[in-house]
Amino acid sequence: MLDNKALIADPSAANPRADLGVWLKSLREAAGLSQRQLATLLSLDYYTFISQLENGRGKIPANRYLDWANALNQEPRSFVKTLLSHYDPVTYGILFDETNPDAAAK
Amino acid sequence: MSDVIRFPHLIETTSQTAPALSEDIKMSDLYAAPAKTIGADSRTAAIDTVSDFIPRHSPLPETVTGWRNQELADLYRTQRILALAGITTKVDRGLTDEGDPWFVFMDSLNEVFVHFSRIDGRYLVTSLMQEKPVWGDSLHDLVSEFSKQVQPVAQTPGAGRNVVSIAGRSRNAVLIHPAAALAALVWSVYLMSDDLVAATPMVTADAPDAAAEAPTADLAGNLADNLANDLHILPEVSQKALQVLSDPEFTKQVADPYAGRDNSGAALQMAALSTGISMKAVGLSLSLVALSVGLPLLETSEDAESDTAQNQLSIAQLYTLITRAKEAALSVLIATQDKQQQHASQTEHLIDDIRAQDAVDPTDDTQNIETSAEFAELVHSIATSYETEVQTILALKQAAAARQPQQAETDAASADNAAGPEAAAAPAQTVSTLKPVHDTSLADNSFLLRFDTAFESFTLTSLDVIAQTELAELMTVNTTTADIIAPLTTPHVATNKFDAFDQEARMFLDFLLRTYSDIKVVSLPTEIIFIHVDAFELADVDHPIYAKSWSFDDGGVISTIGLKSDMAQFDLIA
Repeated sequence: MLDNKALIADPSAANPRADLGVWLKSLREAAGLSQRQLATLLSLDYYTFISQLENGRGKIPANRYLDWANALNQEPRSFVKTLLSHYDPVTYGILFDETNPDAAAK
Repeated sequence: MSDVIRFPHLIETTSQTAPALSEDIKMSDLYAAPAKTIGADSRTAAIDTVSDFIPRHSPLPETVTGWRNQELADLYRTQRILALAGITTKVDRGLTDEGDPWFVFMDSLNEVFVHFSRIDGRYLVTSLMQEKPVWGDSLHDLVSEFSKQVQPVAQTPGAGRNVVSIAGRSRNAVLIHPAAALAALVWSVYLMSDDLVAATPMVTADAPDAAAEAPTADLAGNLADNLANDLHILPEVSQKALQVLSDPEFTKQVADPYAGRDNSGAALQMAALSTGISMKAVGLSLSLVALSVGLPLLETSEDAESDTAQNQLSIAQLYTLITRAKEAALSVLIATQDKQQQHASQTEHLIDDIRAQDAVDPTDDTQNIETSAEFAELVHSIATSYETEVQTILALKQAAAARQPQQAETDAASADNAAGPEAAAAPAQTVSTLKPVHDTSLADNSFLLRFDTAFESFTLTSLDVIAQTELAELMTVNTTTADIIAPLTTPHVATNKFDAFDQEARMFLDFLLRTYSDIKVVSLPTEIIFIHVDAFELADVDHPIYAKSWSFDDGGVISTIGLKSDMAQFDLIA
């Protein structure tokens, strides 16, 4: 078999979404939901997407942030803020980084 | 497409399961005996007379979790083929909390652009180009379902005009390896997404920074050794395109649309470069595969920018011309007396057509790709390959003639032998060396017409046509055209006497079916023929094609056509 390692995403490599996936999984389990049940709550076509997200691959579409927050019993603003810190760290830093005077002032 | 060629049976038979290679096998076990009671659905009964020795994949058990090894192999091979085409992807896979597997392809920014998974035994694929997932019964079933359901999202007004999909007239026209079709699906998604094309780095053959992240020479060498396996799954037409388009002289004259792009330095890509394989050629091959299985394609901006009026040819035209070259070469060579002369003439016509279209039709609305005068070489190359294919047919014909020389003499001496050739005495010879020769005594057109009429209800691909033509010849050596159909329509007890079907023969058949995936099984009234189709491509001077037959006490015959070397392993060569 050809060596696939060269192109396989290394889960041990720095992946800002890996931590987020673990966090999402913990929220789901805390809510007492299976992956399939969460997918049903969110009206997803395929529940394997939940597993994919919890493994740090892909991201929640922005137009579903609120639905996810509600399904996982999370306060929307805090939930989205956490998502943004992983999905778009640059934007998050500009908006919320406390070392940024402009961001901190807001 | 079924791997089983079903010849028409005019006799009604019982439906029974063949005791595949079991003990005490008899010909009557393999062939359905004339029915004493005809089933309610006679057509179904006739179909069931095909004794199926091909190992069938059992339905996926409910308890199976994760991907099968073959599925993973195909998915990883897809990634490697994309790398050969210059697309850097990453993959990841996992299992849900219920054990259902998923597999994703990601671009260089780690964004998922294709998601495969299996949920409750059904497969699905979803991508950026889909509003809804596409479901199927297998990974490869997803390809056909995708081609039926997914059309490119119109990202800009008028973008749809660049979509090429010729599924309606090309489906099944080319034998496509399932893994190649899977790669073509991902390739199709890639091409349909402008964002992906823009975000995914590609390498160039002469990128000066290539060495920056280049793999070691050993690794590149090892990877290069495996490229042939990946490229081998591309259909023959695409491989011919690869050969021509990868030629340095060709690529020098064609501007590389990937030039100037970022270089990710992936080991596979470097390995591809070390083999001299043009990524552009691989991409074109994937496009051909995608088109042939009905997948939509969208032109890339790079192609549009680098096209010139003089060197444009649509993929649809390219595919049409290649198909025409193939079909013309086959039909001309099979159906005429002077095959070589007419083949050359036909090829010249095709080349003239290509040049004419190249000159007068530079503004086609469909996807444009670059080409040049060397495209004519591509057609020449393809036509030549099919000339070889037909020569193989002729070699088989000669083998068939050599197989029953005494029978032929008997027929010539006894014109009123109403029982047909099978009633004549057969020689003991069972193995024949098939040497490529030019047989000028081809069957005439009337024979072909009669034969085609007999099989008009069957949808056959080109290889099937080859098989049916040759097998008819095998059954009707030295007979008139009026006798051609007789063996297929008249049940009889053949008196051919070959070696008895024994344990060694059983072991060889078992080996054949377990080793090769492309074994065609032809069931005739008194004969089953196993054809190792790939052997015709593998055959050369050192590895000739052989035919071997065994007979049963009840008159039935089992024959195999394949590589001499395989038969030699089982001491079947005299």
